[in-house]
Amino acid sequence: MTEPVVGWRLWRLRAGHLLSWAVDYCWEPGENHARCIAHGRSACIASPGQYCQCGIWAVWSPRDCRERARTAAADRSEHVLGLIVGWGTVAVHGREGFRAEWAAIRCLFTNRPATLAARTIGSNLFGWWPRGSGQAPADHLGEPGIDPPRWDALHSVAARYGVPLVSLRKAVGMGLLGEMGIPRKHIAEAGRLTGLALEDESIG
Amino acid sequence: MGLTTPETERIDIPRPEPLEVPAREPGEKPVWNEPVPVGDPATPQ
Repeated sequence: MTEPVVGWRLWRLRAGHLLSWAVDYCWEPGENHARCIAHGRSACIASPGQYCQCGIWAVWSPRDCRERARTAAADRSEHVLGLIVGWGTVAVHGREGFRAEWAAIRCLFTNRPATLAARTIGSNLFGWWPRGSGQAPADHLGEPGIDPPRWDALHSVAARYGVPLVSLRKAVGMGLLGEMGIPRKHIAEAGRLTGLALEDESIG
Repeated sequence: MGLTTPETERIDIPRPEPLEVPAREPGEKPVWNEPVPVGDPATPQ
């Protein structure tokens, strides 16, 4: 494997910046270099450390990312879902994901990660908006309505980092995920999270 | 929150090529790329 690895991850959006999910780190536009932020012991000389959790992490599965967002204690309104590419020394963690020495953001999604595929009885075509609430016009990306402050914040942060901002549904439908190197099974999984019934075989 | 399963493999991956921005006419809206990336030569700054 010599191509950069591509994975899903989450950030916290604050004041126009993307903050790391796990540690006190503000992502930079372009390339980000991992460093060990060890507490109570000496830091790894190089990250990702072999017996450490340091490094820039991402997971293979968008559903896994959604679950992490759901279980987070922090304010879900500030969660942002996106894709990164990782390179340099990369520690692969089986079917879960990877920790990379270098990473860059490839794409941000408009969706609230914790509410993906949260359709239950009483929800409608627009997913997590209550039926008949009258407040869920699909945005121009074909996704559930996004409150204006979040929409503005997402646009600003995507501009700051110089990356595409798109709905997950549109990314699936237009083949963007495939272009970015996401394997078919995870494209299909992303489609299911947005209500698209895709079979792995139907993804070109 | 990081990864919870053990490391299974360690690989070295070369730095990727710079991301290519599809060429388009000035003023033409990108198909999916919104907003326009900073530094796009096709976009007046």
